[in-house]
Amino acid sequence: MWLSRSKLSVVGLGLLVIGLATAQNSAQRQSVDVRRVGHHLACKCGCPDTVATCAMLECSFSNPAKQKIFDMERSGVSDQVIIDSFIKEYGDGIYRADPNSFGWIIPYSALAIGVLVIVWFVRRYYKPGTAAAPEASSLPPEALDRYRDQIEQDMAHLD
Amino acid sequence: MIIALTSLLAVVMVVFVISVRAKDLPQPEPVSPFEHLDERKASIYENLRDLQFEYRVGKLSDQDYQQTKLDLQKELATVMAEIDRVKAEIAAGRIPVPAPELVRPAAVARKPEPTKYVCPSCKAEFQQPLKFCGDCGKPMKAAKA
Amino acid sequence: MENIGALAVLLAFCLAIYAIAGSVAGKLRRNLFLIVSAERAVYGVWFLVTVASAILVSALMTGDFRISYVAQHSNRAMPMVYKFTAWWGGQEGSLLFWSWLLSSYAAVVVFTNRHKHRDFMPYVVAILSAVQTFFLILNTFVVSPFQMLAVDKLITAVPDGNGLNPLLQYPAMAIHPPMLYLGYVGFVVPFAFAMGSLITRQPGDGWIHTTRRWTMVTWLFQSCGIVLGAGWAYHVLGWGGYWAWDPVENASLLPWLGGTAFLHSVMMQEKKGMMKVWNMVLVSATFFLCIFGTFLTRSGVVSSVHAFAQSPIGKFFVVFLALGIAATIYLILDRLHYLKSESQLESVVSRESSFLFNNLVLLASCFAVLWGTLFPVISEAVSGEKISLDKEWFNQLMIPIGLFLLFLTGVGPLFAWRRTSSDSLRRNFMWPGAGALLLVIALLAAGMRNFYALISFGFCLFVAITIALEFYKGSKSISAKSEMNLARAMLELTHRNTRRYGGYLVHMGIVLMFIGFTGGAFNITRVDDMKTGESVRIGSYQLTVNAVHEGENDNYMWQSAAIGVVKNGKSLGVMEPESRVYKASRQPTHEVAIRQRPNEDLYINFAGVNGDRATVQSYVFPLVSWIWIGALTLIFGTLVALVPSKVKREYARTQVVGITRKHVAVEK
Repeated sequence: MWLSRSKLSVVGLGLLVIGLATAQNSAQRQSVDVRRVGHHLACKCGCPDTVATCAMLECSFSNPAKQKIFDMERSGVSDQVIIDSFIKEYGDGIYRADPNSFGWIIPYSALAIGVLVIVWFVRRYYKPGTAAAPEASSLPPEALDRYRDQIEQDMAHLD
Repeated sequence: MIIALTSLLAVVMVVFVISVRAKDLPQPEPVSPFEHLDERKASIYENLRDLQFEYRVGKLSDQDYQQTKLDLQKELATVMAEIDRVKAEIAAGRIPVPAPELVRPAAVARKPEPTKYVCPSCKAEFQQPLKFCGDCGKPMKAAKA
Repeated sequence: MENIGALAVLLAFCLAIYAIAGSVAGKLRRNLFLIVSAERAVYGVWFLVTVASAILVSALMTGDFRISYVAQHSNRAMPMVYKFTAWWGGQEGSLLFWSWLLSSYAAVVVFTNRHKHRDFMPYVVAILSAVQTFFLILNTFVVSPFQMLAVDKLITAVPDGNGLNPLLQYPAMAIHPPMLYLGYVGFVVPFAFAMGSLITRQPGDGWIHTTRRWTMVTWLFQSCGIVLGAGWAYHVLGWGGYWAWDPVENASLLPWLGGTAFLHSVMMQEKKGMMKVWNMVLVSATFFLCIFGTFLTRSGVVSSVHAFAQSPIGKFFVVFLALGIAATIYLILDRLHYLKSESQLESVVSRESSFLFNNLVLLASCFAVLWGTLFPVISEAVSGEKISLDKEWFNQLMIPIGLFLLFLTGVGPLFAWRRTSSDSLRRNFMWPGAGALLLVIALLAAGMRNFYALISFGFCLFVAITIALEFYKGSKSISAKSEMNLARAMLELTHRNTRRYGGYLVHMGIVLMFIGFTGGAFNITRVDDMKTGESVRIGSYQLTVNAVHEGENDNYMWQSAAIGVVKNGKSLGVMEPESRVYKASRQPTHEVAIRQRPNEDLYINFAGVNGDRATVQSYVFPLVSWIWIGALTLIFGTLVALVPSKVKREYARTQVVGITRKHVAVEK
């Protein structure tokens, strides 16, 4: 699944750089072009996907829609016109915008805020060198020694 | 038929829920005032053991081991000091002797406490008379608590 | 009978309210009778919901088509097993199933704790019953499963029902929902104990010890449920994927991520008495994510392939969630001082820090999934534009986070508690680091250029070596000390601390699953319209359509293609993918043919006949089997962690007159 995306971008890059047709076989180019437009159209078969990503095999909506996009592209119609014609037919609801950067910023800024929280937490509780519990520092050394004997004894007893 | 069944169901449920008799009440275990201190102590001992094990398998440098061990011992000492403090408070009568928080209704008679046998040297208690203390191993004359 | 069912649910609702009121009043007024009576009410609720469920199930089994739920979700031709599973096949029934599971859990909790935790059990009962009441409100007043079909107030029956969705007539699908629900519902128990302990300001962390097993079992159920769902998608849906970031899938992943974070961070509290507030927040968040997941699945807020139909229950969930979250936040804020940390951080480079990062990444991924799931709704509300977020978007967002998490899985155990000097670090990092680096270089040399795949394989080996070393070093030490061979020493080691080494096994399972996920980077796909006798090449396989057959039975009509498979000149036999159309629902389904091998799966789907040609979708999925192997390892590891440790060390308690328990048992 990861590859499909990276492959796609590689293919897209190839299209840009090499200057189309010669390098690509027609089936691949077809699918790239149809998917690009299909991404902007919701599939109406009941799935949450777009025409480009609907995974149903005999999808009653996305398959004819893909064919229609392909036919229109072949007759030289621009992407926007194809999308507009779908909107005209099915209403505004069919249009799907590209994921905007907002969708990306929020999760990663949440991550950043999390890092800040950790930094705060570490600062708040970081006490290098001292014994852990706050009361420990108030414990007189001779008391510590008294208990240490008992601790050593207990530990030996346990092992 | 159906009306009879439904009313039966309802009545059975209500009776089951309402009819709590005195002997159905659970005998709650009294909670020691040292409960969480003891648990804390035990968990620090466990940490010490883990530390020793990690050191033995070679995951820790000497310095880390010594330092962490010292820290844990200090923590343990703190908990033990706290236990001693609470003991002193109880002895002085400042903290009431533990009793179940929810007092049973007076109608229910308490069972008499079973006789206890206490070790004179370590104060451990046993249900039956013993020649030697099961805890510290010292000889023990059967003394009643 | 259906009247009795409806009445039983109504009575259960009344009893649940009584249980809340009784236990709180009993606690406040110190009336033991009232408290015990409220606990009885919990058993009563279980009995009544069981009666109602039994009536519904028997109606499904016998085909009582006067009940609209039965008419909608079963039919005469369905096998008995699926008639039973129709209990949770639709909205009304599955909510009743929820209620039933919850009441069973509550009854078990009340029974096992009837002598324990007397001081906060009343609140546990109250909280469990409050959640129960909410679901019983839905069962009784909003989506009753005992709705009758009627024409002009005259109850009528239809001759035959619609039947269960044929896609769901599959063994894994029969147990997938119960597993998920067991996981969803189970988290209410740790939550109730945490809140009970918080309300009564218990010293110590008794609630953690009491609910540790609950949490693990619940987590296990959730994991099983998620994997079964993925396996079902892979084997049944016919598009070759196992995870599509569908809202409903995400809904099950959210509490799993929260629960995983909780299982880890709770160790900080047990070991050092730190992060008490955080653990309260996590256990509550996980519980509310469970409820939220149920809400997502049922309300139709986000459209999804397997969401239930639009229904009015959404607003009930919103109100319940809002009230519950508000109350929880208030409780935690009000008792912050009681949740004070008992320790400090001794060093920034320590196990403690690795836990902090583990929590960060788990929660960040939880948030990212939540965000992605709700983003279409949010963006539509804000800008009025619907946005397409598909699997690729989620993959781009989640892969880096997932890889970082994998890395932490390996790094965590290398850090020691409290402090880790650079000396110790070097010692622990050397072998895993060197191994991972070598693997990446070897893969680069072999021509692999996929960035994420390289990183992922490297981390997988890194973590695997770390875990192997943990087992090896530990058992070597034991075998040296007590003169047993290494294999027995390893068993001994695991048995001594099942929780830790079971946990490592779970990590190993995750590593194996990541190997499977990474294989997805090398999938091959093709779709062909093939005449009989025609062949195509995919990967190293040569596929030839030998023949197309068709037929029908009571339940469905079918067509199948016999496809001969040849690899490197050697015949591998014939694979027969099938496509069906179910008569009752007129729904097409696909029985894919899969040749599963550890290195790759050959996956063939027969999409149907197009003129004189068979439409064949063929895929090669490298390493996908490792996902299932990893899942089995994960389950095994969790089971190991659930086995009580062999050594239960007992520490002397401080002696108090009148207290009989003499030892603190520490179970690892």
